[in-house]
Amino acid sequence: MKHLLKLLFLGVLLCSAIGLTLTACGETEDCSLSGRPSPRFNFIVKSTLKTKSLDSLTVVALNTVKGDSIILNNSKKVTYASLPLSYVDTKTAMVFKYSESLSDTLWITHANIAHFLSMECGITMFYQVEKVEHTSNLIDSIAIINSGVETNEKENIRVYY
Amino acid sequence: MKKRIFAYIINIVALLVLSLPVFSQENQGQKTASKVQIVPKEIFPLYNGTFVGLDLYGLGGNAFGSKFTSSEVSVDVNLKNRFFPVLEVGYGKTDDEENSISYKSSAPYFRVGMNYNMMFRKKNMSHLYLGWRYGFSALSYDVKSSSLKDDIYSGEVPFEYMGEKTNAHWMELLFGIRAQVYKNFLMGWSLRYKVKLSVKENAHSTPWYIPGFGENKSTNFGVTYSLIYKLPFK
Repeated sequence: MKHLLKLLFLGVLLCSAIGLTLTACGETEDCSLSGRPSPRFNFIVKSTLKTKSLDSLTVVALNTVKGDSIILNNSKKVTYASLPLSYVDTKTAMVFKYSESLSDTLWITHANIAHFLSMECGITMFYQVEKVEHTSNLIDSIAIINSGVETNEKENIRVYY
Repeated sequence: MKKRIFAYIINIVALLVLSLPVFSQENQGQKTASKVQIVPKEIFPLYNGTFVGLDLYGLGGNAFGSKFTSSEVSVDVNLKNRFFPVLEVGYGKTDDEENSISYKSSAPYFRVGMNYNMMFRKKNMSHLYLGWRYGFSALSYDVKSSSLKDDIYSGEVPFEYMGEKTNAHWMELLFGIRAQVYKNFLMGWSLRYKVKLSVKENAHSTPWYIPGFGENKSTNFGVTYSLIYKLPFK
């Protein structure tokens, strides 16, 4: 009985200390989603369904803060790209330049869903890709694989060449 | 004279011989008593009383640097001095502002479960226990922030969502102690390991604070420190 009472009062002190420590040292917040989620475009050869490696790719986003902005600059051997969409507009346009004379334009129609993650990770923008229109200079067709865009890791759009 | 002495000796020997079994029995009895202490087995009735507790740790959470405050009342019943079914009802709230985001929520929560008295053979109210709980809360919250600026394309998006509704379920494993301090009054604390089962997310927000569970993580630790009163009726 007396031992229990001692334990109780020791416990009160310990619990306060443990409570503080556990609160402070608990599971750390995973803020991996708090960057800017962008749809991932994977490039595929239509005839073989194998990964397409583009020798050179420059991506220009249209109607940005600076007019037209280069998102990807003459990257070599490109098999995929994560490309940002607008927070405000529901249609984002971008140009895929393969060379000086060859390019395709894509228009991505999307819903924008601002999302509160937590006090530590803040607010981010999720998207729902609804439609992708494109020119067909080099692109054969485009398929939406995962319409929800919440990370940069998952394939969202497949571009067939 | 010789006959008298002989008769006297015979009497003493007879007395010794006759008394030997008695001594030997007594010695055996003493040996048995020293080896095995016979403790009468306590038989407890099914119902042994009802306890009402008030958690003070949650109320003082702010003083310990927590962003959350809660108050909680518990009722448990002593069955067979071994099993203590428990109902805990509480109310938790937060009102926090960081990085231009403000978050407000206040809601009740409920837990049901059982404590197992690890000292059930002893007839006193003080004991150590292990236990489990199932927790549930249905809540709403307000979250608002300064506008979300698009630094690639132009423009900004306002962010204000009031009265977002959600619900949460979780389990708790706990270790605790309660000790009688005066008559029917006890004090107790418990350490709790909490595991999230599910939390409903909304399209525009993930609930940040779950009353009774804490921050919306997969696991949390918790502490309670309670004043407990054993109701006087049996």
